[in-house]
Amino acid sequence: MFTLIKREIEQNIILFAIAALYAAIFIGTIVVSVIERQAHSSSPMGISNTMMLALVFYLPLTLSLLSAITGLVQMYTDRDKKLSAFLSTLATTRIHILLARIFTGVLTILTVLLPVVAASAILLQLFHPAPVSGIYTAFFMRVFAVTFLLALACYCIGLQIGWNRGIVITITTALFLTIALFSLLIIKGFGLEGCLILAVIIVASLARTWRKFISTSL
Amino acid sequence: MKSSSNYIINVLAVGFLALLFLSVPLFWACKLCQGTLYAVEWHYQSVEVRPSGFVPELDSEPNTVSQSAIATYMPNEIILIGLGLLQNDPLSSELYKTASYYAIRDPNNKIRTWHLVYFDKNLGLVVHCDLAKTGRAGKRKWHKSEYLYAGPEGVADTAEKTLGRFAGPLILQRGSTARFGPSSVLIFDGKVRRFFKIQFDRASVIKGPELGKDYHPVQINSLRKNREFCGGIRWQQPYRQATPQEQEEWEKEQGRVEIYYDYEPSYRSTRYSPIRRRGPHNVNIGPDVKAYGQLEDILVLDKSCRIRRLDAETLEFVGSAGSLPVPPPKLHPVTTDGLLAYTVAPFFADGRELGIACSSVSSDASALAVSVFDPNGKPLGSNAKVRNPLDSPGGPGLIVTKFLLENLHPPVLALAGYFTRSSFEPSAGHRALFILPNALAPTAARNTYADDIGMRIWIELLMILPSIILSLLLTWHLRTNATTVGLSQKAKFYWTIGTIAFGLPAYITYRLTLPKIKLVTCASCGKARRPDMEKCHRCGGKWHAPELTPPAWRVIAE
Repeated sequence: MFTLIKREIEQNIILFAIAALYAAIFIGTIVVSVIERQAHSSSPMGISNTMMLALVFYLPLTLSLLSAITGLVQMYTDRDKKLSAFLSTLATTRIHILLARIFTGVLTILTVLLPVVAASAILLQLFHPAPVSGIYTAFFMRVFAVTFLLALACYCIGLQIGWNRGIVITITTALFLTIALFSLLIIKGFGLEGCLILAVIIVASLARTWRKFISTSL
Repeated sequence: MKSSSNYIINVLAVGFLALLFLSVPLFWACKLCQGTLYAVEWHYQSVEVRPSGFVPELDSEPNTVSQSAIATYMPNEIILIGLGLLQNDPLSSELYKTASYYAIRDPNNKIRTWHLVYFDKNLGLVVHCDLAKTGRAGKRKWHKSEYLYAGPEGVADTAEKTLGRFAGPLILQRGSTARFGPSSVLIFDGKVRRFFKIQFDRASVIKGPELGKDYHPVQINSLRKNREFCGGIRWQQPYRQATPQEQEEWEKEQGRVEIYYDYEPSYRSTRYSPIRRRGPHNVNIGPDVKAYGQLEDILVLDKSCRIRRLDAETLEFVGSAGSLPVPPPKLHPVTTDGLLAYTVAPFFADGRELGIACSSVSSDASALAVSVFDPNGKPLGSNAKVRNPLDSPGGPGLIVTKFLLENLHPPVLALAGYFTRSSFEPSAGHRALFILPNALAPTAARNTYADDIGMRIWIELLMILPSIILSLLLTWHLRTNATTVGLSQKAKFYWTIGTIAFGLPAYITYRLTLPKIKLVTCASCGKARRPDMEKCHRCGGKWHAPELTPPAWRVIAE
């Protein structure tokens, strides 16, 4: 299993590099905006508008697209180069291959999300005195939780769509479904409703992907 | 068995995804229709009470050409009703529910200290702390100091047990701002059903009497909900016609264009909005009216939409201030939970209270109402407006489009929208994806026959008739296809029930989960049959394989 994961990471190293670079740029943007606000603001309440917009809108949007692309690339490459057919001849099962793939996808999402969460927490503690930071902590925890679920849902959709042949239809369908999922965030917001719907989407998508991957001839 | 359970899991997974990815585009399409309707219907339209009743002596003068009025309007932002991303601003949700902050300016205006008051759920106490920015220029940071803790029994520097604990749910007075000293904080503890006035500067807590069971305060002092969807309350001055001499002087100075100012109170501050008009000069005869000033008593809004006055010293109710207007149709007793938005504004002139004005928006944003009360809570006037989209340009077309889009939803969910309408929080109903409580069908059924539940259900079924017809058509097509493909009778039965109940998403699910099997021609009946089944599912004929019959002759080696 560890070998499979290692192989998946090596194969998708470019995606990890893109994710790390994106996280670095994103953190840099919010740090600059927070420092700028800190220098000019006379109120301890409220946070930088740029940081708020970045965390509430841009991060979910870009991370969901990145995740969908990750899932799509993983499955399309597998189908195109018949990687699973080759791996199945070795001492492993399809379930292990799929689990290793999903683990790698989750790792890609966390490569972006975890540094952003850590940076936001540090900025909040540094530039907002407790209990002001405590009031915002609950809100940001919800934002990051929903962002993670949204990214995971888009990744699972990418896994499903990537198994189809036809690159144009695959990309178009994945783009449409990702935008539809992101619009779900606009509709439902960062509340419990959104979390529940995204969780059911993830379970349904993974169930369908699992069934398709296990039963399709390689 | 395992393959059948896998198939069921696959169908359920695909079914949910099909329902979701159909509902999202339909939501946006309906939102577009709804938003266009609102923009056309409510733009520049207001609801007013004229005469306002605040200045009856001026309104009844014979020279008065325009009486005073209280007006409210539907803002353009109504298009964005209920969108979840806009409801999750931390500054308008968690922070303002149990926290309040205000600034105190040092008399010599050199140091500005912020004070934060909030309810600490873990401690069960209301906490007050000072926040000041200190440090060198360019490296200034916020520092907190001087914590004070307040419980039901007193105020102290530490969170002592002798202070007692607030049990909650807590309602905190919002929007307190003081310039030359800390203001008191008024809270209502829902468990012990009392008001508490915490005076941090005097380190004292005043306890009010216990309220009866029929009192359910929901807000104190700043009475508003979803302020971005409830237009501000405007005061319009009374005018009299100018004398010929005044007219002549005005024309010499201004030309024939008059500019006058009306108050447009907002939640931040009062502001003037200049309004131009042409024509004969009218003279403003009204007093200098201000909104959102400081009342002697504190306004408390009850869940039943009644507004009461609370004595700031004794914390006892001293009378009624009025009530929130109930937008039509007034079918059932409405609570504050049943209104999409409301706002209350007290009005003052020359330091004297004139009364309060209240406006509210119905749960489905189809009606706007305003009412005015004098300082004793006596009603001075009220008005309401229900939107009629058929009168607006393009309205009938938009209504028909919205109706058809809503009928693409599953019939069972459309019926659920009718029966669960009252259990939805109004703004949640505007972001519903699957069960639509504000759809045209449940709204029409609710508004048509208020008391006859049988007729309301009939109206609901009539309004979702296109959806039912679509479901039946899809079911017929599905059964035909299932017979061709060779699904078992049991599978056909479940698919039939599912498609009648869930309509288009169920049909899409059927098509996506259909086994991809190439049918061959049956030698017995000539129709398509499945090659993976032993017998033809149409005629029951077996496979003919004459080449498998051994020949009668044998080769015998010599």
